[in-house]
Formats: sequence, C-alpha cells, structure tokens
Amino acid sequence: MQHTFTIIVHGAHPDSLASALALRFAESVVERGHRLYRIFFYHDGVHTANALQVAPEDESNPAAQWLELAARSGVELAVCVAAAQRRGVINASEQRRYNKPAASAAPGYTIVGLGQMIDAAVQADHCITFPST
Amino acid sequence: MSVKSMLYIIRRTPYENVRALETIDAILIGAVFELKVGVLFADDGVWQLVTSQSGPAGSKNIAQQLSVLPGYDIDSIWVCAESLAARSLTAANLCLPAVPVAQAEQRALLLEHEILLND
Repeated sequence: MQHTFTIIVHGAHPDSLASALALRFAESVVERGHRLYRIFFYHDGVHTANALQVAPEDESNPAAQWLELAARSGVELAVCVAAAQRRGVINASEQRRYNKPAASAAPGYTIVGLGQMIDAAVQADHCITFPST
Repeated sequence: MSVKSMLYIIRRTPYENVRALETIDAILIGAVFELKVGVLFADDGVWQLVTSQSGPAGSKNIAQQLSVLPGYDIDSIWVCAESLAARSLTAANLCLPAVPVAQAEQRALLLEHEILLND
C-alpha cells in the first residue's frame, strides 16, 4: 500500500545534519514506491533554499540534491516565508518590495505561508520532523 | 473531514535563538486551521513556561507570547512532570495552567494525537 509523507526540516547544511538526514529519508520514501506530499523547510532549515551558497567541490551539497529529488519525484520544496525573510532567503519580488541588493532564493523552492506546513501535516499519512541537531 | 488533533512537543530553551517564537507561530496556525491543538512541554522546553523570565534585550518575552494560547482555544497544555522536578520547578512557577504528566503516561498522550510536531 502506498503511503504519503510530509517531511519537515528544521536545520540546514553545513551547520546541521537535519537537511542531509531528511534528504536520505525522502529518497528512501521514493525508492520504496511511496509518495512525498511536501517537503517543508522551517526555522534554520530555510537556509537550504539559499542559492548563493558555494559548496566546496569535495563536499556534499544537500541544496542541489533536494532539487534533483524534486525534479525526479515532482515533490514540492516549500519554504516558510516569515522564517526565510528573517534569514535573508528572498525571491525577486520580495527583493523589489523590501529594496534589498539581491534575491537569494533558489528557483525550484516555493516560498509559502506557514499554513502550508500545517496543511501538509494534515494531508499526508505520515509527517516526520527532522529537528536541527 | 473530521477534526484532526495535533500535538506540538516543545523541548528547547526559550531564548537560544528565534525557534521558540517561530514555534508559537506554528501552534497558532494549527488553531487557525481548526485543528484540536495540544502542546507538551518537556526537557528544557519547560523553561518556556516559567512566569518570571526575561530574555536578552530586544527579544520578545516567550511567557507573554504563550499566554495568548488559551485565547485561541488551545487549552490542552501538558508539562513533563519529571522535567519540572529535575529543574526544581512546580506548577506554581508556570504562566499557563499546564497539566503535569509523568513520562510513563506520555506515550498514551502521543498516541491520542494524529499529528505530532516538535521544535
């Protein structure tokens, strides 16, 4: 029987293992034939969506791996707008609205309200949180 | 769709970073979604409930922020009895009427809720 999963991520590479662990779990969900309903990045997890990060070539890069998983599985990568703005992860329209020097949010991540986290928890069969470590 | 129940488990200190404040936002959104919302404070999370607290200058007082929960019909608030005792706290120190629940009873409490979230 196919199950749907929501995954909530509270930390980001390289300061936390939360994003990397959540990624491995999410990949396993897809490999086992289940479905990802939504990945929701909250608290420091929103740094995952920062396109301005430069990963050393010999280190893993969860931000890019999340985008590969999304391309493969079609899952939505959702980022809380309030948590993201606090941490400087903004898209082009927010950049204009707040008159900031750059947009930092990577295309492929959607910036949404916190209600989408609760919606995802309600809609999926299982909701797993990866807290910051 | 029937009303789903959500339990938010809080284990983190109030002023380590902005997490406590953001967690309260998530709890309130659960109420806005008309879920049956409960909150369990455990481990260092019990510090968030202490009435007489003050964070770094410029930070919002977490006890004051938590005091709005009953206004959103969030009345199911529990606190880990062992976590309180380990920190020499009692229910009299807390800003909300949180019900002490022993660790041995917390598994049943978790199983009563369909959605479990944590900070």
